[in-house]
Amino acid sequence: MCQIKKIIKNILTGAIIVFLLLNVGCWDLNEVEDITLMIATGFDFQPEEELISYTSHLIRPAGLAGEEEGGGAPGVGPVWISTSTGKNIFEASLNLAARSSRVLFEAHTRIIVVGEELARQRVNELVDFLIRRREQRLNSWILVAREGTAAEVLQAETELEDTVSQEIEGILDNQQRLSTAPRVQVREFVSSLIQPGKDSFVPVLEVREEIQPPEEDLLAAQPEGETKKYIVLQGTAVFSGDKLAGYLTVPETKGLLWVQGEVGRAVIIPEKPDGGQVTVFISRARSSLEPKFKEDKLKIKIEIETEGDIGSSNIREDISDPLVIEKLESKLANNIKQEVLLAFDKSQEYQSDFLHLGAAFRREDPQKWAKVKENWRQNLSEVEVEVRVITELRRTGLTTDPVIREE
Amino acid sequence: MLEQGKISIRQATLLMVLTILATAILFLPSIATVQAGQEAWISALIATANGIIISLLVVTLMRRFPEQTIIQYSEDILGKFLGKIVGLGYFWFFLHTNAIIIREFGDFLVAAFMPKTPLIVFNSMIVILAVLAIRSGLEPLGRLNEWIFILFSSILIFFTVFLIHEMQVENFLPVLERGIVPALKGAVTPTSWFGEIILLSMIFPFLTQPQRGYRVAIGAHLIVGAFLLIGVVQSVSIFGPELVSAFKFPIIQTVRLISLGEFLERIEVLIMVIWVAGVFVKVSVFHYATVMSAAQLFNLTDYRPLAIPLGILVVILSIHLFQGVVDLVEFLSVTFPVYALSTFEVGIPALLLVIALIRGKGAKNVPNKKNN
Repeated sequence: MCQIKKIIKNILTGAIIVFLLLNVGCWDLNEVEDITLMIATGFDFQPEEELISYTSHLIRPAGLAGEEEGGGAPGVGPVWISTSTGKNIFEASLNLAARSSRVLFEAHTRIIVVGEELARQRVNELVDFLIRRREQRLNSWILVAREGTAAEVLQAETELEDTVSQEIEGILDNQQRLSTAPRVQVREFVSSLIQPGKDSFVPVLEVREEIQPPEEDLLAAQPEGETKKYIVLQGTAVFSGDKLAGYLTVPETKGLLWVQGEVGRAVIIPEKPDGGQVTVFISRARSSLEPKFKEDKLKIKIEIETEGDIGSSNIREDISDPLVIEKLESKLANNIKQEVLLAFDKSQEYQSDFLHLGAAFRREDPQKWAKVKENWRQNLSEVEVEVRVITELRRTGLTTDPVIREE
Repeated sequence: MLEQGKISIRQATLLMVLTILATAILFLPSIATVQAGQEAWISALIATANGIIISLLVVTLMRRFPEQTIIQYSEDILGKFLGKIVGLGYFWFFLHTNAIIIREFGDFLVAAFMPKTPLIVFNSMIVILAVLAIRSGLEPLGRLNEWIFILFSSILIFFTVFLIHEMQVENFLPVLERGIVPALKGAVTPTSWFGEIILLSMIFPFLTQPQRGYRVAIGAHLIVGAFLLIGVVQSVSIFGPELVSAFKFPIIQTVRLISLGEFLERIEVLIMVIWVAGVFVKVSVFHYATVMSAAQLFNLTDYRPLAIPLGILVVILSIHLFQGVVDLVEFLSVTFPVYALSTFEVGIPALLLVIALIRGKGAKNVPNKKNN
């Protein structure tokens, strides 16, 4: 008995050793030489041919390697901007294999650009792709290319960075002190898309052209007046359900961001009668929604509290005077209120609840909400909105008085 | 006695914690939100409460027969023939549930991390580990598990700490939008996971202090309930109930958001660590119960020779029971709760307890064993 046991044990140990030796390494081995990192993706839909095109920034190993000695291989940028097409998004992404020598590795994607046509017609497919794919991360940034395609955006020229995707990421970060566009991650986009009483909004990228001034350097031999394409991040694309409904201008976008409580550093300029201006940096903003169900009426009170510092001033009044500060505060409050109302008007016009008012009504009273939720987007036009803004100017910078006084 | 080792109350509690928690932490947020929406956290609480009621029931039964496993005392209570049938039923329940768990294990790794690796590799690996573990007995497993629990729980707590700033309380509102019914429905499947406490009946005779059996079961359920609550709150408050119910494994999506100064990120591989470690314990406990019940059913003197053949059987079952992940999820969320709760987890123990009370079988008070 004991001997048999011992033999079995030895056989088992031997079997395990052989088994382990045969399985050295890992089945799903992805050598770094065999993959290419994707850092940005653009999705476009061509309605005439019913085709999806899939544009991506793939890191070119040679382009990055020689950077220190002055820019890698000549004529080869750090990324390969590849495009492939297919009947649906997944097929389009697979079709790249016919041109790419390396396996696509999507997990490093930071930027997702959606072409306008796709945003109008195929958002459901995009959401499915982003959620189902193992390598896709829900914290990448999503943007819409206005009046153009995602491919155009990704092919634009860069100013400071090596690639457009790095540039977009930097701009997203940097423009927060301006608040001209929101910042939206894929997960926020998808969750407001599917939550009742919410619609999604996404920042907008535009490609603009500028005539390049002729170079001073004669050796460069650049043809005169060549155009340069560059990107601008400005405004918001709003959705009604899973379809792109329209765009918000910059003031409307600010209105939206006030309601979201996300205005980091908007610069607001209350105009004085004498033409002078005071610029205010918003240091803090908070908002709350107070919905009320009145009989046959829906009312919502939007309350916004902000704090700001004075950033610049060219008025001749004495800023150290509390009365002047008070006047400025009420001007600022009025300004903010106007922006919020602008955004709300657009919300009614586009029938898109991007201010998430419906969700506020739902939180307030789920039973009464159930009665209005059927045609919520149409009901938006019957909502009465009241905006209350409390502003406080806390600091005046490193000076108080106007340096040059009135005579 | 088939088992020479003894495990302490703490070891038994932690063994039960990981046995229940290992798979629940991955599936509960998604399964509960499908039914209960933003009230999934209430479902987790209800399921925990149900679990405590179940543990009161089954531990009362166990305490009447502190020297025996459920296989042995069902013969005492029902007589030899019926008792053997019930025993055979439990043997099948342990084997079958274990096969399901092994399938979940492999499916998760294939779906989330290694799509090209065949399922059978993962399934057989975990069973080989479990076989090795239980061949050395219950005591080493209990001791090993104390370390695995520390690993498991500290990783989960680590996740939560780094996700706190992503959570938004408004995702829980409105509370009880559609009444309490969805929350109750959402609690059904998790309750069946809590019902796995019936495995305690296979290790109950080997506790150092069987009189503290209630503490093991209820303590285990409270710990599991706390972790599940944290898990649900975490995923629902970050993504909102609608998105969580669309995910298969919400914890992966939440952990992917962890980013500490763009330096500490992409740490979702830690999920693989807790998954492999946790499921290893779970499969070992289930396999132990399977092997032990088979040995006792046939009055063998040693359970160890059965570990390998039954291990091979369970791997084969795990591959062939389900066609694909759709089958598996359907079975887990629709069939399994009804099947397990009505029979092996609650139904049969309740029946056994009632008959034991009527026929006056078993001891009323657990004798204090001093020199064991």
